[in-house]
Amino acid sequence: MKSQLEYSAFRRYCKKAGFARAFRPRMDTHISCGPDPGGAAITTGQETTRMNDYETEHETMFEGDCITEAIEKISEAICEHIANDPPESVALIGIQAGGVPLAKRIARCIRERTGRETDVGTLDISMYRDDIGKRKTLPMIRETVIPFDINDKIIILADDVLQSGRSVRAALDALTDFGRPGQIRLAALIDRGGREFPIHADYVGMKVSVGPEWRVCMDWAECSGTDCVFKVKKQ
Amino acid sequence: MDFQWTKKDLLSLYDLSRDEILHILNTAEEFKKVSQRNVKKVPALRGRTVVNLFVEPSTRTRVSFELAEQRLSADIINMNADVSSFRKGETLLDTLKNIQALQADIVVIRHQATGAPNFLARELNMGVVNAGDGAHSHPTQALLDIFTMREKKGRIEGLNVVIVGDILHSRVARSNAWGLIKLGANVTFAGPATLVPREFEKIGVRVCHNLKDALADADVINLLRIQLERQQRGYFPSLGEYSRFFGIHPETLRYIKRDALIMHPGPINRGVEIDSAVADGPQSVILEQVTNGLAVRMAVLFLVAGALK
Repeated sequence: MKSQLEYSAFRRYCKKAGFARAFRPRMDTHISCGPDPGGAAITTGQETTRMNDYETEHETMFEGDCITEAIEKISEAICEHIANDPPESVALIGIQAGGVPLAKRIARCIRERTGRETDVGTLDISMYRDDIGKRKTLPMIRETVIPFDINDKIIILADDVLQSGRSVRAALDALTDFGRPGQIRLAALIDRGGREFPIHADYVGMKVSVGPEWRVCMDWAECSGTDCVFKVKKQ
Repeated sequence: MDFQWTKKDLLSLYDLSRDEILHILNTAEEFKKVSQRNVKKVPALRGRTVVNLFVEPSTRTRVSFELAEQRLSADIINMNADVSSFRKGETLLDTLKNIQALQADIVVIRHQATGAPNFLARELNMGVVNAGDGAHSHPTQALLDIFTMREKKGRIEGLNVVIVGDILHSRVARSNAWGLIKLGANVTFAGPATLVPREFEKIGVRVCHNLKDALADADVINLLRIQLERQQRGYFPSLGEYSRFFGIHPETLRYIKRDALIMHPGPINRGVEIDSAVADGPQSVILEQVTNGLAVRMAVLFLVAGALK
């Protein structure tokens, strides 16, 4: 089971780092990427592929409590902002995939803090991206579930890492196809700078300045067992 | 879970792996939701041009593709054999090279010649989507059939699927069999021996010439249209006789499973391969197939467009 988890984290990392195809374990090969033989054994069909190490430079930035505190900080700011609005007029929507655990955790924090229940939805933006055919890999379409009416509501979009603002642009287009929210606000766990669009987050967990040669990625405990923000050197 | 689609063409389910088929089905699930919203359109293919080239006439597949393209915000050019330069003697490849020179991105082609889409896919940089070639392959029809089965039954593995009718001339039957076998279903071809030769056993299906035996444990019954235009060739004595031995009538429902699905790729010959009471009955999912066809075609176009360089 552990190797499965490590594998899924590795795959997500590969995908975000933009070299998913090169690193996909092939059925007929044994990939050996580094000197350390202690990597996770990955079973694909009947073959075993060994993933030893990330080939490129990568560095953990934040882990564990640090991330929990950042989510609490976001939740506190949201609670302050929505204190005078009736609970049913506020909803959280997580942008697939990294924003979904964030939206769920913010909803939990809001419940613990104020006792109010907030609707949570998920939004996939693959169909709204402006770079289909320009990317090396096609984004995988994940579930969009918005089980409530978004008209006239305060919608808080949640995403894990905010960089160019292009995902948020796509999310705004996607969301407005579902209705006409009263307000859309943006919560980002990490704001790493490097904006390409005039977009800013209303609630930010952590602000860091990372050079454009790095990609900032996030692993969620819900998916891989631990919360971890790390950066990967682009190839 | 993550899967990367890399093919610029969709030619046949024969060429696809199990994972690729499942990826299309999973992608189609999300596209199905798009058509259930108030705004039934997404900008995924905005600025892309799709050419619908139906050399062999078709109504429902063309309409389904056209609507799928519109819901993906693509620009559309429709061509058919009558009005195009085919009449003036231009070759298929020349016609398409001209279209490619106009910077079109994808061509959806239906052609009476087996392998025409495969040939074009090799020669062109455009994406090629097969909308039916000869008696060879009709991948989007098979995908929508499989999508409907999976949606209704929750699985494909272990399902007993019986395809009844003119298997010999049917690209739908072949495509269904390739896809279903890859996903672990048990496929049976049923019909008169003239239309269901034993050779089909080589691709891994069961061949059965008695409808009652074939349907006894069927979870899905997929009926093919009896192509009336081929009736002259004497594959069976008369339509009445075909209907009596291989048609699905209200009495047939007594000896099949109560939850067996009844499917038909259309257009239906009411009273020949299927009686109205069955076609419009509770076990029929014929119209749901049409709905799902749209979602599957949106998914295919989206994936193919994403793989274009």
